[in-house]
Amino acid sequence: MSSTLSKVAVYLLCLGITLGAAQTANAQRDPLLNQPRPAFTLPDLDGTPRSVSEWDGKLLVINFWASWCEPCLREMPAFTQLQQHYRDQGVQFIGVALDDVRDVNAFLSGLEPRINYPILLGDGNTFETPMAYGNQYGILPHTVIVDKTGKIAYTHFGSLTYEQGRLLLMGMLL
Amino acid sequence: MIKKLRTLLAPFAVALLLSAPTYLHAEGNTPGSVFDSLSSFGQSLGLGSQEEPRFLKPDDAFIFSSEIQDPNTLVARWDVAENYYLYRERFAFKLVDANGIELLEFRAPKGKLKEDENFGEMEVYYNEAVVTLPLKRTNLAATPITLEVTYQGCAEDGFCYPPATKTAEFDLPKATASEGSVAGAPPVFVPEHERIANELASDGKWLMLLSFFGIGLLLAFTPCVLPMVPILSSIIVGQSEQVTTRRAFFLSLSYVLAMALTYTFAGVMAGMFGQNLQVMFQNPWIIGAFSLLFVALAMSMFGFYELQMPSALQSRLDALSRKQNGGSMVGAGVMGLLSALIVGPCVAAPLAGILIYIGMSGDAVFGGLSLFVLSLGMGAPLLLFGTSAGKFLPKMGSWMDSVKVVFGVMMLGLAIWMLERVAPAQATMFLWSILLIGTAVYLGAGTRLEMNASGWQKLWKGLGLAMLFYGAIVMLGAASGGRDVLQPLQGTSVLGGAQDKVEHLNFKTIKSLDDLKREVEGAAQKNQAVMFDFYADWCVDCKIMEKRTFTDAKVQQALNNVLLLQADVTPNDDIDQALLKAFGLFGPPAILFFDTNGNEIKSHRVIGFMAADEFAAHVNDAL
Repeated sequence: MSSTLSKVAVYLLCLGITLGAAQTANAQRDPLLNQPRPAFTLPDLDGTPRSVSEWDGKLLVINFWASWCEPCLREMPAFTQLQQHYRDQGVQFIGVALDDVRDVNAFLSGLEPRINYPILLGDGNTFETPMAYGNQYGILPHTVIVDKTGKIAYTHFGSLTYEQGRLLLMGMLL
Repeated sequence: MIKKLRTLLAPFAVALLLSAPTYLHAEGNTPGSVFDSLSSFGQSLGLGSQEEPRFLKPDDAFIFSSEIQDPNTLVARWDVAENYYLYRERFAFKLVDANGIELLEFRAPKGKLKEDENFGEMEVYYNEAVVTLPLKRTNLAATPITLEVTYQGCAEDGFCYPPATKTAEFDLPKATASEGSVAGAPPVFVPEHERIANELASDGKWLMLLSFFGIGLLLAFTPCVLPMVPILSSIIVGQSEQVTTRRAFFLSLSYVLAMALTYTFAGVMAGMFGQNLQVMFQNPWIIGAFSLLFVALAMSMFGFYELQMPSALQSRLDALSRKQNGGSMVGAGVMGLLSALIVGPCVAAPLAGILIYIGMSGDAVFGGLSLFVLSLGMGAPLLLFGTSAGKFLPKMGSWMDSVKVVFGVMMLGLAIWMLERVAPAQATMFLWSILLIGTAVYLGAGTRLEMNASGWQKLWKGLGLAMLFYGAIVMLGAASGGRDVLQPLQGTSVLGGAQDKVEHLNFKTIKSLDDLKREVEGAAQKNQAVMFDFYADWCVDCKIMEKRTFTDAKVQQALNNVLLLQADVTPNDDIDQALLKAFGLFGPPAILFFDTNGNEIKSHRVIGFMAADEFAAHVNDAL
């Protein structure tokens, strides 16, 4: 009991210090931090339009990717595992493919284990959606975590490992 | 224990991850390395927030440029930032407003193979990608075109840039051919007719042609040519008495010109054939073999054996030419053409030698010209004899055999001259001295003259003695470290010859394309031009240039403020090959120049040997 308590105390302490520091040090770097997430509606692989508001109230991980981007493909099995482990705690991954629907299907059909979260089709030509999330150069992979209140809590460019993802989600779920 | 440590440290890790909310990196890719980022903890506390953005703008990561290499070739080029790379597979090129011009398949040097977890082995370019785009032109006129280029790349840190498309507009100059040369080497751009004029303008070439005329004339005085002249003349001009001098001249001329045509053809062929063998002629073994061949040819001139065409073929050609009507222009011409094919035993060996020599120069135009002049020399006595109705012709005699021997000596000299490129200077000097002394003895330098010796005999003896002395001096020079037959005592202490310190160019040695890029960029910043020399131990021309051209004061002065780089490609390993390929070169000798902006001056590439004067002028022109 006391060990759990002390753990929580340390977490809170660290969070407090670092978030505070982040506010000052990185405020100008990520103007979207703590801002409400931009809304978007994109078709899924069946062609059904899906609005991002569908997942309001969840800890939402939006992953922008494409089949021509090798680091993107590298991290997707980790996301599938994380989705499975943290589903019960209200975590929801969604993938936004900035790509051609055929290339997306071709890649996903060969993926093992099979993807267990929704994939939406973004516009690979304009990069409109990732741009709205602060990705001005179209760099992929691009992962954004939206907290349960609908505010942007974290942005990451480059691929993530399972371990990194686990730490992030643990911290967010506290 | 470890597990406990982990749980204890986990909050720190999370805190760290959260501390840099914007740009977290793949540096933390491995689970353990989150601890590495403890150092950034301080930064996140505001101690060092001036971190640079961890990724570059796409146009800074891959800096695209393009240019017209020649009317049939475009070049696309990317400077790739460190730790970034481009996929070869994702290159795409197209012409937007192509009217009568289409792109052929692009050519790019082999990239690095990168093992991608998901894609497998991919060919990628780090640092730089240079793609050559050959054009196929049905429209040869000057035309504006727009090139559309697509490319895609990633960073080692684990992120990618979306496919980018750029357009570049060119004013394509008018072309002379519908397709560019497929060989990778961009041609040194000098219009052909100008090139010939330039080369002939240099005194050396005129002198060479003059000596070819002399050689031809000398050939005419060998025992298998001169005795044929009166007979030939009577056949060509015909037996009729009423031939005017004018007509006799033109009949003889048409015979000679037709003969010259055949020889010219042979010269052009030798030159063209040699063009493809230039690299081969840099090989010491090949040079050694050819030099042996020259010795063998010389032996035939000394009468050890006879070299000639198969007699069956010879008699058939003979019969054919006899069928021609004497006295007619066409008949004389056909006889000329055919007789050139019947190469007599004294002509065969020197001719073979000359053709090999021309082949080594690899110059078809000069080769053809040389042989043309040579055959005019050979035909001159016939022309003279035919026109003067037999008045001017030297008395025949055994002296003609001596002319044959002169050719033998010349060919031995040629053999040594070739060896000079690969053998140590001292060794070839010894050979020269032996040749000189041997010839001297043959000329009678060592035999007593009879009391009633003829003037000729005295002259030969005098000449022989001079050769004997010179040969002895050369041998002395060789024995004491001399290196040049023409200055045998230079560098020896005999006669107190002062040792001239030869100034060599101070090259900076580089190995890879990266080295070159760095050096050229560095020089450009200092506003300095660059000369870049490819060298190899097995490259004969390179060695000659080091010895002759680069030691010249004019050349050194011309290169005074120029950064001198040299790549020794002797091992010819992958790095060397990549370096050569980057410039579309097959091997040394090659010298490249870069202007003060760091751009290569393609029009002034030097491929092959260039003598000091010409080289100095070339450098001054280039920079």
